[in-house]
Amino acid sequence: MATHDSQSETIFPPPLVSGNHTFHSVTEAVCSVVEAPPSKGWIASFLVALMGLGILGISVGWLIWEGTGVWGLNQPVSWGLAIVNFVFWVGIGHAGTLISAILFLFRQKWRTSINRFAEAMTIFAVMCALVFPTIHVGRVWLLYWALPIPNQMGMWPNFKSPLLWDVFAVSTYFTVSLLFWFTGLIPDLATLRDRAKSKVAYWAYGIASLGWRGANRHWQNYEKAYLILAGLSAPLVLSVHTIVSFDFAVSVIPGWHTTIFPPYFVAGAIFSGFAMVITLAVPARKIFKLEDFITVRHIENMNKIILTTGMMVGYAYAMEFFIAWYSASEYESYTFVNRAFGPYAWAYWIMVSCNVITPQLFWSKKIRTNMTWSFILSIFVNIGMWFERFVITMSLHRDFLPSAWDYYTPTMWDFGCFIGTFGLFFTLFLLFLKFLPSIAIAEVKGVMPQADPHWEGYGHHGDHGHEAQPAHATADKGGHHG
Amino acid sequence: MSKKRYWRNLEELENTPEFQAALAREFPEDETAKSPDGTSRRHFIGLMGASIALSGVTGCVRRPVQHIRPYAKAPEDLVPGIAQHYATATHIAGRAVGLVVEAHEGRPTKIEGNPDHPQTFGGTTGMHQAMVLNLFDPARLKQPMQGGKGTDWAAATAALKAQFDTLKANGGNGFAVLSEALPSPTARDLRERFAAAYPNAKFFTFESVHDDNQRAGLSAAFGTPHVAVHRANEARVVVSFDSDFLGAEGDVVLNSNLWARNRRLRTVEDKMSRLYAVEGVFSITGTNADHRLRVKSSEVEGVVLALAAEFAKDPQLAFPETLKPHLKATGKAATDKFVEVLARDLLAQRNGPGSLLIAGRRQPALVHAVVAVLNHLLGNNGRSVHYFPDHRRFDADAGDLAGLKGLTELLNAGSVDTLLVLGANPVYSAPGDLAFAEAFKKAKTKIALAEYLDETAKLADWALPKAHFLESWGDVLGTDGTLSIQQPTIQPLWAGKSEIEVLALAVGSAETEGRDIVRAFWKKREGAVGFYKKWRTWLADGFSKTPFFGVTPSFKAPEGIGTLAPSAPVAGLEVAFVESPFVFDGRFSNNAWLLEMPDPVTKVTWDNPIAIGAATAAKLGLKDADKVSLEVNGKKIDAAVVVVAGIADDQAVAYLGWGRDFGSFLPYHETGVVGFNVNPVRSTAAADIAGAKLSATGGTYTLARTQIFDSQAPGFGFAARQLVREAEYADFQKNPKFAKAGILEHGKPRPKAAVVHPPEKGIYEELKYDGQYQWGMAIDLNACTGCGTCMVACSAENNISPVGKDQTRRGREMHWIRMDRYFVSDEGKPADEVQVVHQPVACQHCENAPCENVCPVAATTHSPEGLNEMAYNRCIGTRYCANNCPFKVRRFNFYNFAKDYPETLHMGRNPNVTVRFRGVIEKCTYCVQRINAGRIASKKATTPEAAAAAINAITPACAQACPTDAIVFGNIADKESAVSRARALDREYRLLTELNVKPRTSYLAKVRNPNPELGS
Repeated sequence: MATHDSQSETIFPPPLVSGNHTFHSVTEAVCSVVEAPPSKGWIASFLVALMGLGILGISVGWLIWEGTGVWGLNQPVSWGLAIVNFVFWVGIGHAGTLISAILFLFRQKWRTSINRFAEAMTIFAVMCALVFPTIHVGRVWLLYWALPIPNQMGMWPNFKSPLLWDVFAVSTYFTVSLLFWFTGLIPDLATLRDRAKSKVAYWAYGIASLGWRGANRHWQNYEKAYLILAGLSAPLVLSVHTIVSFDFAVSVIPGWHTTIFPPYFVAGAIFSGFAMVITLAVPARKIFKLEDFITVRHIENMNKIILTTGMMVGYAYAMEFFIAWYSASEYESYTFVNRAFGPYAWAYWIMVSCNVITPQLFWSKKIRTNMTWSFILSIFVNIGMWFERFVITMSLHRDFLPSAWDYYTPTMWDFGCFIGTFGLFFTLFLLFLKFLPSIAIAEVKGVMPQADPHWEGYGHHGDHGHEAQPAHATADKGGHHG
Repeated sequence: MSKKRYWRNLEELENTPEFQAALAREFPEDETAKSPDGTSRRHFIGLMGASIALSGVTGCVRRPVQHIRPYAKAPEDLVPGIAQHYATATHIAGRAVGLVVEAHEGRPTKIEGNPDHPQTFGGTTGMHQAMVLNLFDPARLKQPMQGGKGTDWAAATAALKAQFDTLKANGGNGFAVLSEALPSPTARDLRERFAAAYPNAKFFTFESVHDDNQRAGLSAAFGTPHVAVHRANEARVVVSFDSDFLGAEGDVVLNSNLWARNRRLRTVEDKMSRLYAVEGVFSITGTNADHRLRVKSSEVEGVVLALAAEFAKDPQLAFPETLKPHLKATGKAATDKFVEVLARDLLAQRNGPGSLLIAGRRQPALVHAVVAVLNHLLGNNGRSVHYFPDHRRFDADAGDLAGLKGLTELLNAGSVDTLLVLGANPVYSAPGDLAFAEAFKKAKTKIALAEYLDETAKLADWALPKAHFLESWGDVLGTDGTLSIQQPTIQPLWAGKSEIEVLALAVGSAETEGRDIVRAFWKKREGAVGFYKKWRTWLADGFSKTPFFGVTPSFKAPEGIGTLAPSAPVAGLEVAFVESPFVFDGRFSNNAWLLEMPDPVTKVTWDNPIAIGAATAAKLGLKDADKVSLEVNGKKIDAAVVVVAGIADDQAVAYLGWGRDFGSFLPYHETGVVGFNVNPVRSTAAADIAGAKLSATGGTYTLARTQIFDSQAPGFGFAARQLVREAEYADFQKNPKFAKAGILEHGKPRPKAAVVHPPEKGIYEELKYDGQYQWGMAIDLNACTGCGTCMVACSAENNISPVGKDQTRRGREMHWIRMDRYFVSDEGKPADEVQVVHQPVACQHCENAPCENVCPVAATTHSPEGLNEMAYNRCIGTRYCANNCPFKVRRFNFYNFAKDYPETLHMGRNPNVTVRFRGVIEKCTYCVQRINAGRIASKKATTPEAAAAAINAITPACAQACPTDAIVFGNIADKESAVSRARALDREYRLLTELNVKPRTSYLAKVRNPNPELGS
C-alpha cells in the first residue's frame, strides 16, 4: 500500500489504518495499553477524576441531606443546571451510538477505530445524564414511583407526562447501547483473556468474554446479533433526543413550546456528541499512540459532521426567531428578544458564538485536519452546546406574568454536581481505557488491507491475495503474516 | 303440610350452577375482596408480607411518636374534629374590629371578621389575621420576671399588692401609669376607680401611631375632642389628604368595605365614586386613587388651604371668617389647576350624591380642622362623616406625645417612684429626643405588662406577661360606639394577665378574674334585671346591637380654628414616618407571617428600607438598595433605600415598627434585628414629618423582594399581555364588554388585540364538567385595594410556612396567593407619575390544567368538581408542574420549612390541612377543606334550602378575609350563585385564555374614574 502515488490517492480514499500494521501489531498496540502497568499520566489523571467523583458524592450527599434548596432554583425557574446538565450529557451520549449503529448500517468502515470508545463515551455520558433526573427531584427516595412497577396503591405513573417518556427513552437507549457495546467487546475480551498473564485477569476477561472461541459459528451469531442491535439502536439515536426535547416542547412555556425542537435537538445532540468524541480522541490517540488507527481522516470526517450539524442548529436558532416574530404572539416574541438582549444575553451570545460562528472555521481543510484546531474547536462546541441547553431552560425566567419573573443564579452546589459528573465520566473513561480495549481490535483488522480477499500479501504485490485470512480472524491468528 | 326450606341466599334457593361451583370451592373468595385491578385479597396479603419483609430495608424512616389522649372529662358541645366558632373582638391602637375565631379542640387556629359586626362586615386586615400567630409565638414572655429572674404570679401579686398598698396610703404620690390605647369601657371604669384610689397618681396614654393632630383639630372645630368615622359609601367623591384610610390608618376594615361599595359597577348604569389622593408617600390609598396629586407631606396643608380658598370664593357657603386669613393658592400651576377642578367636583356633589374629605393623621391640626369645615360645608356631616367622642384614651385632653413628654419630664425630675406600663413599649417607640430609656431607668419601681420581654420590659423591675386577646376577657368600643365583647378562646398559655386584671389589682377590685371584672362592670351599668340574657346575646353576637353612644355632634362655630396657625412646608428633603400596614408600630415585628408580607408598593419583605421616588434618587445620586444614613435634626441612623416610582419629589418614607431585636426567630428565619428602627430620629416636635438628609454610606444592602422585575421597564409588551384589563369609566360606559377584547387604549381596543390567537386545541380529550358542583372564583379588580389581607388569611388557613428573608430573596416564598403590582404610566411623563394596578393571583384551577399532564406520577389531577388537586403524598418533586404553570402559582418546598417548629406553633395549625413536607409542590386548593365541610353540611341538611345555603356559605379564607369582598367564590353550575352572577358581568375576563387552559378564576376588569377636566 505504501506504493500508492499521489495520483492514485485522489482515486482511492486514504487507508483507514496507516503505519504498515500487521494483524499482530494491531493486537499488540491495543492490548499493550491494557496489559502494561498504569502510566504515571494515567494515575495522575485518575486521581484528578476521582477528586471530581468525590465532588459529585459530596454535592449529591448535601443535596439529598438538606433539600433541593441548596441549588439556586427559585419559583419561576424550577429547573436549573440539573436539567441543563442532563440534556447536555444525553446529547453527548449520541455520537457513540450514531457512530456505532448508523455508520455501521451504512457500511462506513472508517468508524471501526473510533466506535469502541465513542460507544464507551455514550454509555458513560448517559450514566452521567441519568444522575440528574434522579437527584433533581424533591423526594429522591420515592423516585421509583415514576417507574411502571405494580404496587399496592394500584397507581400507574402518568403516561401523559413527557418525563415518563424520558424514563423509557433514556433507559431503553442506555440498555441497548450497553448491550451493543458489550456485544462488540466480546471478541476483544477473548483476545485479552488469551493473552492474560494473571489469574484474575484470565478469569475476569474469561467470564466477560462468554466463552468466545472465535469459532465460525460464534462469528456468525456475533455478526447477526451485532446487526440486529445496530438496527435497534439506529432509531433510538433519533428517538432519545426527540423525547428529551418533548420535555420542553410539550409544555406551554414560550421558548419551550416549539415544534422545531425534535430535529433541532437531534442535530444538536449529534453536534455535541461528535465534538466530545474529538475532545477525547485527539488527546487519546496522542497519549496512547493510536495515531495509526484514529487517523487524520477520522478526525476530518467528524469535523465535517460537526460543520454540518452546527449549521443545522444555526438554522434552528434563526428559525426560532423567525417563527417567534411570525407567530405574532407577544409572549413568544418577547421570549426571544429577551434571550438575545435580556439578562441572559451573555449566555445566548456564548451559545451563538460557539455553536454557529466558530465551527465555520472547519470549512478550511487545513483547520479541520489540524489536531490542535480540532481539539480547541471541539471544546468550543462543548461549551456552546451546554449553553444552548442553559438558554433553553432559562426561558422559564420570564414567561407569561411579569410579576413572577426572576433571575436564576446557580450556587456552588449546582456547579458541584456538574463538575462532579465530569469526575464520574472521566473515572469511568479512564477505567475503560485501562481495562478494556479502547479500539475494536477485531473490527479494525477487518478493514485492514490484509483482510481484503484480494490482498496481495506482504511482499507479493502483483499476486492475488490467495493467502488472505477471513476478515474476522482472531487477533493472534492474524499475527502469522508478520 | 308442605316442607319448609331454609336458605341463605337466592342463588342457593335457585341452586344455580354458579352456586354449585362456589360450593365446590373450599375457600370461597369474596368477589368484593378483590381490588379494582384484579388482585385478590390473598395476593394482596402475599404482597403485603413481602413489603413488610422489605420494609426493614427502608427502616431508617423516622416517624414521630404520637400519643392520643382522650378527654378525661369531655367538654360540653365539643365534638372532636368539628371546629367551634366564637365571636370576639380586639383592637389595634384603639381601632376595634369584631371577630369570629375558629377553634379546634380548644385551640384557636383562625381569625375571621365577624360578618354581622357594623365596623367589620366580615373583613379584617392582615394584622388581625396574623394575631393568632402572636398567640402561639414561643418568644412571648412566659412568666413574671423580677429583675431579670423568672418568678411566678403568686410572688408577683404579693409584691405588687404591697407596693400598691403603700402607694394608696400616700394617695398615689409618685405613682404613674402609662397605658396603650385601650378602648374598653371596663378599663375606663377602672381608671375612674384608680383615680379615686390614687388621687395624686398620674395616668398617661401613649401610642406611637396616634391621632394627636386629629384630636387637636377636631377639638378646635367642636370644642371637645372627637374621632371622625368615615362612611365612603355615602360619597361620590372621596379625597384623601395624606390619609391611608384604605391601608393602615384608622378604621381600615370599615373604610375599605364602604369605599368599595361605590366601585363595584355591576351594570353599566351603576355610578362609581371617584378617589383623589393628595400625598407624598405612596400609600395603598394612593395606589387606588383615580387622581393622585404628588406633593410632599408637608405641602399637603397648602393644598388643603388652597382648596378651602376655592370654597371661600363661593358666597353661598358660610365659610368661617376665622380661617380666611390662612387661605391662599399654592402658586404652582398644576396644583392650583388640580385644586380648582377638585373644588368644582366637590361642590357638584353638594346637596347631591355627597362627598368625603379625609385628613391623614400626619397632617397638622389645622388640616383636620379645615377638612372638618369643608365636610360640614359640603353637607357631609352625618352622611359620609360622623364624629364620636374619642373613647380610646384614658385622659382625653393631653395628646399622646404631650403625655409621654410630660411623663418623661416627671421621670427626669425624679418625681416618679413607681411606674406601671400597661402594654405600651415606650422605650422602643418613644421619639428619640425624649431619651426615654434613660428617663425610664430613673423610676424606682418599674412594672411593665408586656407580651414580650420587649425593650421596656427588659429594663423594668417587674416584667409581667400580658395575656393575648384570645386568652383574656375584655370589652372593646368601636370608634362609632359599637360595643364588642372580647371573649377568650383558650386558657392563657403562659399565665398572662390582661390590662384590666392588672388595673383591677391596682385598684384593689373585688373581682380579680377578667370575666368577673367585665361582667360586674356591665351588670352595674345595664342593671341586674335581664342582664344574663343580654350578656349571652352579646357573647353570641360578639357585639351589642345598641351603640354605646351615637350622637354626631353639631358643627360649632369654630372660634378655636383661628388659633391654629399654618405651618411652613419643609424645605428640601423631608421624611414622613408611616405606620407599616403589616407590623404597624412594631407590635407585630416578631410575626413571621407579617414580616414576610411584601410591601404593597415596593414588594420588599422582611425589611423597611427608606423609600424614595425615582426623581429624588436621581437628585441624591442614590441607587436602589444603597446603604444610607438618615439624618434628622442632627440625629442619624443607618438604613437602606428602596427606589420606587410614585413617591413625591424630595420625599422619603420611613416605616415605623422595625429594627426590634427578638433574638431568635422561627426556624429558617432571620435572627436578630430585622429592618431599621427609625424612632431614634423622630422628635416630639416633628414626630411624623421632618426635614431630613439622606446620604450614601457606601455598599449595597440586600433586599428581599417578591416581585423583582421592574415592571416599568419598557419593551416587555405588558399592554399586549392583557393581564390586567382596565378602562376609564366613560369608555366603559360606551364599551361595557371591553374586557373580553382586552385593554382599551384611548377608548378603543388595541389594534393588536384584533389579532387574537385562536385557542389552541388539546391533544387529549378534555374533561367534562357536568357534575352538580363546579367551583369557581371571581376577583373584582375594582374592589381590590391591594392590601394583602388575603395572603395572610391564606397562610393562616393553609398552614403555609414563612421562609425567611434569605429564602424570599431567592424567590422561594410560599404564598399560595400573591399580590401582583404593576405600574402604569403615560409615555413621556416622569417615571414618578404612575398609577398602580393590584392583581391577586392564586391557582386559577384551569379546566385544562397544563400542570396535570406533565406530572410523571399523576400527583396533580383534576376533581370532577373542577378543582386542580394536589396529592402531596404522591408528589416526588420534579417541579415540572411548576414550570408548566403559565401563572407560576405553584410553590415548592425547597427545604423542610415546617421542621423543628416549636410545639406552640403546632397548636395553631389548621388540623384540616396537611403540613407539607420537604420536596413537594403545594398551591392554592380553593380551600378544599372548606368546600368539603360545606358539602358535608349540605348533605346532612334536612331541607333543600338548608342544603343550598350550606353550599352558598362555602368561602375560602382569602374571600372571607377580604375587607372589600373583592373575591367571590361558589358553584358556577348554579346560575344563581354569587360567583355565577359575577362571572356574568360585562367586566369579566380570564387570564391567558389563548392557551386554552380555561381558568376557573375570573377577573372583573378595573375601571378608573378620572375627572375629564384633569385628563387621564
